[in-house]
Amino acid sequence: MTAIILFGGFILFSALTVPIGISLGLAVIATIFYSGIVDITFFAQGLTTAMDSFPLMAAVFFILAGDLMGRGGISKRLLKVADAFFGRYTGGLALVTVAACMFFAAISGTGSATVAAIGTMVIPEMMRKGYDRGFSSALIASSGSIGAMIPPSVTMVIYGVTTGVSITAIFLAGIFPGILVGLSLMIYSYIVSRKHGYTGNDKAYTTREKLQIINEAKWSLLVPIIILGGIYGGIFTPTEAAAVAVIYGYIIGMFVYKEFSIKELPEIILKSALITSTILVIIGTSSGFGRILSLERIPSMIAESIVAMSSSKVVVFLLVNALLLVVGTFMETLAAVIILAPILLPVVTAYGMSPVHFGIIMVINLAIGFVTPPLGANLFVACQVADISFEKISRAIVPLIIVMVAALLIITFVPQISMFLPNLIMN
Amino acid sequence: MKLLKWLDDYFEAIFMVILLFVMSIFIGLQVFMRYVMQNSLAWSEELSRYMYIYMLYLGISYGVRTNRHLRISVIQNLLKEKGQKVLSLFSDILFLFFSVIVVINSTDVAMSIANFGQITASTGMPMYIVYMGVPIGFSLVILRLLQNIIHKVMHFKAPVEDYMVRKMHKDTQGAEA
Repeated sequence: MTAIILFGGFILFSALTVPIGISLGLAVIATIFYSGIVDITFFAQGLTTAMDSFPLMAAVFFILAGDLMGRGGISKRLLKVADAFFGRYTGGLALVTVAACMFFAAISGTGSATVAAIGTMVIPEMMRKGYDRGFSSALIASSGSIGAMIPPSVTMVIYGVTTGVSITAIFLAGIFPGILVGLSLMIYSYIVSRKHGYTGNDKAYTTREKLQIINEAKWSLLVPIIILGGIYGGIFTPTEAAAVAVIYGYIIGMFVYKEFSIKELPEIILKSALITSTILVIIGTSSGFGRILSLERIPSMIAESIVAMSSSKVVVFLLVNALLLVVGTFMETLAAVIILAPILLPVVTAYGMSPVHFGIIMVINLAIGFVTPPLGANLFVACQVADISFEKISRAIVPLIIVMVAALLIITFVPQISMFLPNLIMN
Repeated sequence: MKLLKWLDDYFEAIFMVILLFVMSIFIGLQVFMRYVMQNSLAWSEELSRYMYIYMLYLGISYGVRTNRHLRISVIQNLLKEKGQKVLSLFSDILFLFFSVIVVINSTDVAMSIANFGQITASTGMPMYIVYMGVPIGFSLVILRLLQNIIHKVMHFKAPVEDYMVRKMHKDTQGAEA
């Protein structure tokens, strides 16, 4: 009964358009009033203690850093770099799009900004080159979802905070899987482009020109090196790295690229602060949720029922992936992490999966859910950017989702892809 | 009157901007001091964490003001205009109910910590100040929700866009945030 109030309440309140975080809070309070399983004081205290976390601060800084970098100049320069290297091959523009999104992912912490930033510039160009509108917009939507897969990633930060897994380890583990998903999209684009005869640019860049373009983009290209290099080199924690990226963003944005003036800074800061608050509210309001779950033994009950269904590791991992994909389509990403990570982690660790590896799987699943019809948020952004109907993009995205799921399955069943770097560097 | 309107648009926003800006400087300074000056700051991390709590809870209130909270709109989209308006009003009332419970209980928590006289680990300020972030933030949420509810009741016949969110008095920068 407690479980029904907890989950039923959450679904009911969300359906009534109460903000997602507040819905979970109301469900927790209803459960507390009904069963007295934990004290309301515990919940009230948790509103402060859950937010009182240094790792959690990385979220706001990565969002702000991404926004500072994303203003005009940087996405343009990243596209130029990608064009210099991939532009002249068959399906050049498609390859450039994916590559630019991957670069951008290594700077920003979220996916939907990527779609808007890169999409607005690439789509008109692709139309001119005769690319199919459905394919182009679906490609933009799915490449944008890489933003959450390649570190730094806000979803990874939240997974780490929720489960107590080292964020540095998850960031390390996320690099190759993110690249693999990107490469899969590139291979698919190449095949499609060959079939439809989408040719590349006529222009072949000389090494000299390539160096020139890299030089123009150097301040943007330095960001991932500072952030990831600094974290992995043990120079600073993920939160410190994110703050350094913010300060770097102030300086580059105002004084080097001069993309915005000091007058515009408050507006940029406010936007990030507000976005962070609205997505992180659930961290506070879900305090008590984990405690209720474990007191009610809900995770272990679910684990047992899954184990009873099949003792095969392969089947269980497939089931977990399927569940995450479905949930990722319908639920907001952070809510899904907070609710599902404590439930599913005991299941998969019982089958020998490392919590770090599971974090990567979860992040990728939820990111794919972000572009899955009927609700994927990235699809709506891509629709606006590409001026295409939701029905059309929903059909065009299907093969790309299949490609990403294929990559996801490889990542699930070959743990070395994720675990190689953390094992190498952290041991 | 002009000031009041300005505060209605930006009250939480001023603090959010200052808090986030100062936090980023503090943490940047912390890295700089440790690596360049070989001198670790003791207070920067703790103070930033507490400022973050305030920023987040003020942001929840400002999210109500600007209607930026994340919601699932499946059911809402199935309804006709009138139904959408009633549903939105009802969800505000549920949010209000939650906020009242939070303010009452989190004030209790802060009071008992104040009575206990606990201080923070490295800056030594009274711990209850940290815990006041939640009741302050959610009191503002209550205020903002009441503003919205009154607006909605009074403008029930207005077009949905005007009904759902109160326009900014000054239609400039902050409205976009």
